[in-house]
Amino acid sequence: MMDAIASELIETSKGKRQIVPSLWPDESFRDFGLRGNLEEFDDIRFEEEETFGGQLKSGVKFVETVADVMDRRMATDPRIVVMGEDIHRLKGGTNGATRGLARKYPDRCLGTPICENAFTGLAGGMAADGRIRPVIEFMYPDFMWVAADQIFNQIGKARHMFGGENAMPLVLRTKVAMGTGYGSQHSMDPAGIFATAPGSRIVAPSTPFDYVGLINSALLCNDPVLVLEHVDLYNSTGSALQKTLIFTFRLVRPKSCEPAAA
Amino acid sequence: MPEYKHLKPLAPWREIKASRDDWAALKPELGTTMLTQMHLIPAFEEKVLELAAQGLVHGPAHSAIGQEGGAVGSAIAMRPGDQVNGSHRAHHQFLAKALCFVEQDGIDPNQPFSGEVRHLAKRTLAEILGLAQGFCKGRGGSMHLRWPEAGNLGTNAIVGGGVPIAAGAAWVHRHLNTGNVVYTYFGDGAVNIGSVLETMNIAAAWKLPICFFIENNGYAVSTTVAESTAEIRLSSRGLAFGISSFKVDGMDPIAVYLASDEANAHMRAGHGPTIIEADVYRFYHQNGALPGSAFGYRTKQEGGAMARA
Repeated sequence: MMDAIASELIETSKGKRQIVPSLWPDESFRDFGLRGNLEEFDDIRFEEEETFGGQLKSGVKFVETVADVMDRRMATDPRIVVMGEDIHRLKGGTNGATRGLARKYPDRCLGTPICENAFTGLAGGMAADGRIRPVIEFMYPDFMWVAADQIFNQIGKARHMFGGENAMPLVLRTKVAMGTGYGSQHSMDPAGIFATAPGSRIVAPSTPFDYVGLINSALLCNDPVLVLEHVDLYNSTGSALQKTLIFTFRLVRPKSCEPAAA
Repeated sequence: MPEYKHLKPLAPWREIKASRDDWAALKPELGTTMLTQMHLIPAFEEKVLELAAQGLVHGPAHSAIGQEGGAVGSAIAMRPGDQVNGSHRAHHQFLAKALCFVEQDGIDPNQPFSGEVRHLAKRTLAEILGLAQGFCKGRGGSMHLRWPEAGNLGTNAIVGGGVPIAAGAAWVHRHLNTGNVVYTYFGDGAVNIGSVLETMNIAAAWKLPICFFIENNGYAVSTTVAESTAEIRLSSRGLAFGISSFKVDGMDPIAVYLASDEANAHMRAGHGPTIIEADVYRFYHQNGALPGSAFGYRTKQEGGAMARA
């Protein structure tokens, strides 16, 4: 049987054995599937704070929005699972970003051992399954290097590597902590590394309103999304929605923001 | 004089062998299916090596000839909904799982291969050759074989890289109560890398239904197990993490089947992960069609003795 099969794939041309030329993939296929085509956003509502017509309340703390929006999403979407070190304790992890989630969703708020490589890969496996949308928190982006193989060789490359059709809907939240005095190994901004490695999308919300839109997009997206939260913004305030509303931000349009007053 | 108390590990660690009674009790369909798979898989591998020697395989050809027993014995014990992943040397594991999926009532060696089996073999060979009709449209090649319908999650070219991912799949099964299990196949080379050991720990802590299947063929390319680790009985790692572990002769597919069956009962009951260490022999060098002895790291006699055993 193997001889017969091989003879259907290989021919002799000018006395040499070669693959039947028409069986090769098309050259245009080369970069197909590096990331998905965002078709999951086709019928979705987009909003921007400047043009939002609904009710907003002001003075909302950024870090509270982080936990708040995750709570609202987990309440209605049983697929969402958050995981990371100490996110299930300390009133929402080391910054309060997951406050209240462990009490409400104990089987979907997972405090991990210290093993970034394993728990990141675990999240990758959950995402690849299709029935779970994992949200990993890296306590500091510097720790991503511990999980580098899983982030860059596995999660980032999985779609393209296996032919382009398999989704990897994973969200990776981390805080940029430069300026907190923790030294070289706790001060990284990982955007550049992610921007030059295949497969991921990056968002960096700067207001509570933007955070809601971008995290909703990240949770909807079938590609891995890095969500950067700057610690300096955690205690900042802004506007947020009065009522629950799922809206998203376009992931491909950068928005320039004014530098904050000193 | 200090006092000593010998401490006992949490989980059992056992060697498992198939007795004469086990051979007699084996369902004939299982026996004949295993036999057929153990002929088809090396035939497939030999075809790959033949094509590689002719320069027709653009990429590696990590042959699993000699290691079929571990793949077939474990695949036969699984259900269609169970899942597996493997490493760069995984054609045999991919095929064994896929064959069990396309022929769920077993394969009769007295009949010609079915159209489904032929199609499976062709699509797998096509993927290895990088052709558009392959499972990953030719993009994956030999080391990235994926067929999710059959439970093949996707093989991995980073040593130990697929192990955490398999644990993630197992987490979903546990969370959704599917009763399914995941086998992650890797070798004696991978057993010393961080990702594997980290995953063993978290899998045990979270009671994930995953079997860490260690294919011990004695060599990581040319480096021996004895050079690489102090405790060369690799299933011993289970003792450190509280994982129920088995050591088995991987050249005896019946013994592997029995180990897998017991591991599956443990995992499906929610008791957490298992380890199966299967001793096998890789007849060829790491990559390609030459024997290992051609590269000087082992003798021709060793290869011959293993072939006769």
